[in-house]
Amino acid sequence: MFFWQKTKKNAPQPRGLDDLNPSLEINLHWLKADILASDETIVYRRFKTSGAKARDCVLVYADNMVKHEFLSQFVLRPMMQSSPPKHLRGEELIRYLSANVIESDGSELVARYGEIGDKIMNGVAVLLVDGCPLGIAVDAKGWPKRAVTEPPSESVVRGPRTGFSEDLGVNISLVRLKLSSPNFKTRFLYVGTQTKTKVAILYLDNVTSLDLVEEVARRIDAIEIDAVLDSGYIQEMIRDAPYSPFPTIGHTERPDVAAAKILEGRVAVLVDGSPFALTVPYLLVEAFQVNEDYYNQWMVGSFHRLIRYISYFITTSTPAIYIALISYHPQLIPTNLVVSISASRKNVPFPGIVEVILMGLVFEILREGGVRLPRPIGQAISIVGAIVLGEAAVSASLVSAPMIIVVGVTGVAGFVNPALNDIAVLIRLLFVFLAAGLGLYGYVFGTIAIVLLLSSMESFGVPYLSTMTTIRPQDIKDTVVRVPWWQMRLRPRYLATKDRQRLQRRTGSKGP
Amino acid sequence: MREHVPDDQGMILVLLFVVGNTLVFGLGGVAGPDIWLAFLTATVMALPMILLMARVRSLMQGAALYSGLEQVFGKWPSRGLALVYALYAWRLSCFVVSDVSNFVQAIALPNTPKVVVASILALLMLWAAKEGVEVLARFAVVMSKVVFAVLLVTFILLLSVANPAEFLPVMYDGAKPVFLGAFQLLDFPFLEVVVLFWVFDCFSSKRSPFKVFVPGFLSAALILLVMTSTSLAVVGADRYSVFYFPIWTAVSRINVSTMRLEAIVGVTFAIGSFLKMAVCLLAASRCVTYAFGFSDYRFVVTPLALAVIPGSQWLITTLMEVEKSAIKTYPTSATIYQVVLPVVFWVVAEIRVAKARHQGKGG
Amino acid sequence: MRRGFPRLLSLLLVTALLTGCWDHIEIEALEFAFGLGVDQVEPDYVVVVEMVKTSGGGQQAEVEPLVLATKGKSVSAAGRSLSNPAGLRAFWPHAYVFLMSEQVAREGIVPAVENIVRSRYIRSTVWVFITKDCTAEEVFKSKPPAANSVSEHLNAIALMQETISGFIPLQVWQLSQAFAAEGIAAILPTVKLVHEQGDLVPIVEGTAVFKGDRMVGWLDGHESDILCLLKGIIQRCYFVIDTKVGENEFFPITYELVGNRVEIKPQDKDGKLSVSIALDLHFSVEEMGRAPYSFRDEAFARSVQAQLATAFTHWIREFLSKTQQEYNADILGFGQLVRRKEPQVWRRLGENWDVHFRDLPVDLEVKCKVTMAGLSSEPLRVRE
Repeated sequence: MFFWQKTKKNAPQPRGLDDLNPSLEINLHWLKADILASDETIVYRRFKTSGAKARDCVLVYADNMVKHEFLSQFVLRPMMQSSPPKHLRGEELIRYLSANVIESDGSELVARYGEIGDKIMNGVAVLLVDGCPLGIAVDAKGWPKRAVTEPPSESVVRGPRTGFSEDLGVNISLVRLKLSSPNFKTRFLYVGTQTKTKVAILYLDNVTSLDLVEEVARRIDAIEIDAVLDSGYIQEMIRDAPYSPFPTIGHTERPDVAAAKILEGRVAVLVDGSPFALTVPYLLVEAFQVNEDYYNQWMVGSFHRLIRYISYFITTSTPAIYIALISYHPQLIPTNLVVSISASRKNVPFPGIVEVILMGLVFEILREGGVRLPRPIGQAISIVGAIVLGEAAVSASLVSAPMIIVVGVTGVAGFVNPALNDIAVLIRLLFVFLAAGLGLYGYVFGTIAIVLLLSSMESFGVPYLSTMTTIRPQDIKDTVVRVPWWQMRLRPRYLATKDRQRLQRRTGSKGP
Repeated sequence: MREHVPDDQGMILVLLFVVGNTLVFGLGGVAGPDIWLAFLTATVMALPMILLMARVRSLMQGAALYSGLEQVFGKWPSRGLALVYALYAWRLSCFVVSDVSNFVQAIALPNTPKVVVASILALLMLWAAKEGVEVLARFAVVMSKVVFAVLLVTFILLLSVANPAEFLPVMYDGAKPVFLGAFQLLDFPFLEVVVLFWVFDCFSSKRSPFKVFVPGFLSAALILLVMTSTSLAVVGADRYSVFYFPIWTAVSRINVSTMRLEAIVGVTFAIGSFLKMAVCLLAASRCVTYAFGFSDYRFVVTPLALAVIPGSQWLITTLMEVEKSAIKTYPTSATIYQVVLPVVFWVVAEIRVAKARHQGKGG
Repeated sequence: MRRGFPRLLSLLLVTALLTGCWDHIEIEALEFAFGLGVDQVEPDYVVVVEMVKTSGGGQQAEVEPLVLATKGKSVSAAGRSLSNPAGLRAFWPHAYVFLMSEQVAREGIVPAVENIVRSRYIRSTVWVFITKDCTAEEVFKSKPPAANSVSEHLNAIALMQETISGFIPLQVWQLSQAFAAEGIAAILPTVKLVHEQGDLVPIVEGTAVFKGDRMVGWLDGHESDILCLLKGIIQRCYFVIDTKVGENEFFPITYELVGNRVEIKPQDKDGKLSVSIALDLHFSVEEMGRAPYSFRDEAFARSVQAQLATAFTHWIREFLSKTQQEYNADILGFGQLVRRKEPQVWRRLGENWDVHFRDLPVDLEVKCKVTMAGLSSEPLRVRE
C-alpha cells in the first residue's frame, strides 16, 4: 500500500544511556566532553545555595532556547536563597529542591545523560547538584516565535484570521480552542532519528473510528528517517497510492479547517515546526471545498464551488479540446469561428500541438519564475509575459491569436484550485498528447483513464471518489453544491463511523 | 479476496451496461413508428428473465459467486457453465470494441485504422478489468453522471425538433413488426445482462440482487425507450431504419445557434460502450479462471484483452457487418445463452436449495 | 493502484506510437466550401462550388468568395475534382446551401441530391433551393449586398423566413423525409435573381412543387404564404387587401398575420372520404392609409373580419384547385394524414391516391380576427 525507506538504526550514543554520577564534576565533564561536546551555545551557570552547608550547583541550558528572566527569577534566585536541611543528600535532596524550592510549573527529574542532552536541545534547563545522581529539568522553553497571523496561502474574505505557526503546542491549542470538548484527543509520537520531531495526532473520540487513528499512528510509527523538517515529509511517507499524482493527504494552514475536518471524522496530524496540519483521509472533493463555502450563504458557497469544478475542467481540458477541434474536427466549430481561426493561423509556421506545448511551457516558466520572487519583480515578469510574449508573438505570426486565449484561460482557471493546480499541468499534457493523436476520442480515452485511476485510489481505506460514487441523497449534500447547514443533518457516512448526528433536531433555521 | 459493490453502484453498473453501446445503434427500427411498443414488449418479455437471474443470485445468498455456484450445481457443471459464458462474454466484448471502433471511424476518424482505436480500448479495459468490479462500479457511477447530463440535455433539445405525429398510425402493419423489433432488442441489449451475473462477486443481502438488477434494468429500458422514440420522432419513422446511427443522426439535426452537439453525444456513446466492454472482459476472465480452477482472475485479463484486438477485427470487419450482426432477429445461439441456460440454472437452483433446506430441517 | 502511473504512461506511448495522425489536418490548410450547386445531370453533371478564401493571419483576417464550376460523372466526383484546378482543399461540413437548377428539378432531383443525403462530409442541415430562371452558377456569381458570399446570404434569408415570408425553407433531411414518407409530396423554395442597384442579387421567393422527385410546377410568393398558413408554419406575412369601408369605398389596408391555427381532419363518411380544414387566423392592422374608420367601431371590425375570411377562403380554394387538379401533388400531406388518422381508409385508397386526391372534397372553414391595431385605434386624422 505505502512504502517507507528502511534505514539502519543508528548505533546508541556512548554515554546516552548511562546514569548520572553523584559527582557534579564528573557529570559536567561528561556533558562537556561527550553529550554536549563542541557546542558553544550551552551555558553552564555555576552557583551555590546559601545556608551553612552550601552546595555546588550548575544550571545547564542552551542559550536563546530558554526564557532567561524566568530562569533567574524562579530557579536561580530561590535556589541561591534556599538552605536545604543538612541531612538531605542524594535523591532526597533533589526531591526536596524540586518540591520546595524551584518555582516552576514544569519540572521533572532526569537520571540519564542522554535525557539531559535531549531536554537541553528542546529548550529545557537542567539543574545539577553536587552529590546527587539526578538532575531537575525545568521547563523554560522560550525561543523566538512567529505571531499567529493569517496564513498567506489560504487567506479568506469571510472567516477566522488565525493560522498555524511553527510551534506545535500553539497549534494544538489553536485547534483545541475550536473544539473545546473532552472528546477531543491528542496523541504524541516522535519521528526522526536525528530530530526526534514531535508529531501530534488529533481526533474526536466520539466521532472518528479508532481503527483509523490506529492506522495513522501505525504508519507514522513505521517511518524511519533521520529528520522531519516539515509535515511534507510525513505526508509523503504515509500516503496511499504513492504513484498517483493526486494528493491522498490533505494539508491546511488554518485551525478552523483542521477543526472542521476533525469534526467530520477525520484525523489531523500536526508536526512540530510545520505550520501545515495534515488531514486524513483525503478525498478528491476536498480539493474543491474551501472553508469560505461554509461561512458564506449556501447559495453563494455552492456557486463558488461550481465555479471551481468548471475551472478545473477548463484548465485541464481547454488545450486538448482546442487541439482536437482544430486538427481533427473543424466541422464541430461554429462556422464563423472556424473561418476566423483558419485565417488567424494562415501564416503561423507550427502545427497546433507544437504551439500548445510551446505556449504552455512559456506560461509555466513565467509562473515558476514569478512564484518565489518579491512582489514588485513578480509583476514585472507578468507584464513581460503578457505583453511581450503575447502581443508580440501574435504580431510576429509565431503563434495564432486564439492560442493566446486558450493558454491564458487555461492558466488563469488553474489558479482557482491551488490544491490540484500542479497535477492539472500533468493531466493537461496527457490530454493534449492524446488529443493530438486521436482527436476528441483521444481526449475521451484520457478522461476514462483518469477517472479509472481516481476510482481505483483509496485514502486510508476510504475510496478516493467516495462522495462522487454514490447516488444517496444524504451523501451528496456537500459535493458539487453545498446545501444549507440545516439540511446536513448527518456526518458523512464514509468517515464518521460512530456518531453520525450533526444536528440534533431541526434547529436554527426556518428550513423549507 | 471478495469484492463488494454497494447496491446503488451496482444498479448504475447494470444501467450503463444495458444502455452502453445500444445508443450508438438505436435498435428496433424494424418496428417503424411502433418502436415504443417494441420497447415495452421487449421490457415485459425480458423482465421475467431478469427476475430469474436475481433470484438465482439471491438463492446463493452470502456466498461468493463461485462457492455459491458449486453449492447449488456442483463442481463440474458449474465449471462447464463458466466456460460457456466465458466464450459468450469474450465474444460480446469483441463485438462492443468493434462497434465503437467502427463508430469512431465512421463519425470522426475516417483514415485512422480501426486497430488503433481497438488497441487503445483494449489497453484501457484491461486496466479497468484488473482493478475489479468495485472500481468498475465506482467508475460507472462517476461516468453515469456525465452520460445522464448529456442525455438529458440532448433529449430536451431533441424534443424541440421532434414531431409526435411520426408515431401514427399505430400498428399499421399489425403486431408482427412490433414483435420483430422486440426480439431484436431482447438479444441486444436486454438479455445481455446475463453477463453481469458473472461479474458481481457477492451481494450485501438476500434482497440485494433484486435491488441491483431490476431497477437498473428498468431504468435502462426507460432511457433507451425515451431516447430512441424521440430520435424516431425527429428522423421520421420512414427514415429511422435507414441510418446506421439514428440517434446520432437525430442529434445532428439540432440547431443550437451554430453549436454542434453530435460530438458530445458521440463521446458519451464511447464512454457507455467502454463500460460494457470492460464488464464483458471482466466476466470472461473470471469465468475462465474459475473454469480452470484458478483462484485469482487477474492474470488472464491481459491475454484475453489482447486477444480482443484481433478478435474485434476478425469477427466483424466493416460497418455494414456490424449492422447486420446487431440488427438480426434473435439468433438461436442467443436463445441458449440468454434463455435456456438461465432457466435451467434457476430450476436446478430452486430444486437444490429446497432439497438442502428440507434435509437441513430433517437433520 | 500502484500501477496507475505506468499505465497512464503506456496509454500515452500506445497513442503516440500507434497513431500516425492519419486524420490530422491543419485548419489553415482548409478552404471552406459554403455552397454547392448542380446545374445539369444528363449527360454529365455540372457542379458549382462556392468556397471562401481566407487570408490575413495575425489580427486581421480577410474572407472572399470563390466560385468554381466543373463537369463530372457524379456530384461527389466532380466536387472532388475541383480541388485540382483550385489548388485548395475544400472542406465540406460547413456548407450552408445546396442549389439545383430548374432543369435538374424537372428531370428528377434524386441523382443530384443522393450524395448530399448520404455524405458524411455534408451536414443534413444544409438548405436546399431550386433556382428559377437562372442557373446555380449564375446565382453563386451574383453579388449579395451585405453578406460575404451568396451562401451566407441565402442562409441568412432562410433563417429570417418568419419575417420575410413568401417561401418555406427546407433542409436536406426534411427533403429526404418528405421523399420517404407516404402520402405527401415534396416542395422546395426557389431562388431568383433580381436587379438591385445595378447588381444581380439572389432572393428567395416562391416554391417548387414536386411529384415524386420531379418538379411539376411553381407556386409564387403569395401562394407560398397560403401554403404556410395551411401547414401551420408561423409566418408573419403582410397581406394588403382592398377592404370595403362604409358604403362603397375601398381602401388598401395592410394586415399582418400574427397567429394561425390550423386543423386538418380527414373524414370518412359512408365510404366517402373528405378533408376538413379549420383555420383560425389572427391579424394585426399595420397600415390603413386614408381609410377613415376606427376599429373601435364594432360593425366595422366585423365587416373587416368577414371580408378577410372571404378573401382567404377564395385564395385557399384557388390554391387547392391548383395543387389538386393542376399539379396533382399532395404537398399538404392529406394522404399522410389519412394514413395516420384513418389507416383503414388508407389501406383502401392508398394505392391510387393520385386519383382520389385529384377529386378529394375539402370542407373549408376560415375564421379571421383582428386582434391588434398597432398603438392607435383611430386613423390618422388631418384637420382641414
